[in-house]
Amino acid sequence: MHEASVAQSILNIASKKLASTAHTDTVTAIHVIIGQFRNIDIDSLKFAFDNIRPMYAGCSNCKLEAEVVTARATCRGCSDTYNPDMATSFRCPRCGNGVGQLISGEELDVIGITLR
Amino acid sequence: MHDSSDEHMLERILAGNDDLAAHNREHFDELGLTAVNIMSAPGAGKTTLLEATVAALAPKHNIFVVEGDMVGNLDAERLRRVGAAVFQICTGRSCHLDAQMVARFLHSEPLQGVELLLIENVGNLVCPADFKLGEHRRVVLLSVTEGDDKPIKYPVIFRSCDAVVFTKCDLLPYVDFDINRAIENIRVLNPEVETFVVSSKDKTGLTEWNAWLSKKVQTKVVSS
Repeated sequence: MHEASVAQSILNIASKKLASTAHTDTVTAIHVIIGQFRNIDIDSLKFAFDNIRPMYAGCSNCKLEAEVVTARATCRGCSDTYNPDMATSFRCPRCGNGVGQLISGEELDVIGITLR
Repeated sequence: MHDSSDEHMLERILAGNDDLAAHNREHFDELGLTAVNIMSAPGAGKTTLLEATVAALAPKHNIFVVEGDMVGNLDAERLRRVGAAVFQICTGRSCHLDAQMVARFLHSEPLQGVELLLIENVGNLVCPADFKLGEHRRVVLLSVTEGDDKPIKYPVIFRSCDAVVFTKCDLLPYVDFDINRAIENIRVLNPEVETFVVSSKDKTGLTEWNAWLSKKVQTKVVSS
């Protein structure tokens, strides 16, 4: 379950940010975006996050706010933009060709923290 | 009563691992070696393929193997028996190798003269895909007993690899595995991927696989 490693990295980033911010001592929420083309199960991530957050100073009660980013790809055949997913075996629904460039879906970023 | 404030930022969650992977790559390049990350589901035949690979390529190239397992050293012992130099990494509870584990290995083993570093990752088609190690090439093994739909179920690892080795192909007459369909499923995600159909048991296809690896070593030597 690599979600535990990902949860650790998220909390490390938030802890460092907290340490560099004056007049605050608590993180109440961490906001992350996770692309559909990443191997991350959000429930597993939240489970791991909730279990390890007490080990990080100032983060013991913080929430993880995760937003999933839909994958978008350019089709190699017709250059149309589409959502590559299992329903079509990742093929373009218009011409049946495969995934060219992934425009989105590989995000795995902390985009903000809420401090108090 | 304290006010809340939102701090906006944009930081890659795996930046720590990615930065260490880049550090590992610099070490590999300084040493002039080619590093290959070998990934698959448990039991696809990574160690058996590496036994055959080491036996075939050892006379030609200086090879070192990193064995990644959650526990134990059974695979490392197997590879030592065919004459390989092996470093065992036990990941404990972690289901994948990461760049820090490889960095610790790099700083503890003298690798001067090594031309080919084969890194056998922990058996898993999910987690290893997201954790770069600094490797030059990524190879995924898919055994014919697993099913030709696996690339659709595990798209991230099949999209990000340079080569796929179909293993245990001596069993093809006994299983419903369509090699052409499997290749098609991979190419939808990854059109440039190279594919090999092998049996480590009866030696089918090993010549092509070994030649591909050997070419990567020679290309590296020429370019370094």
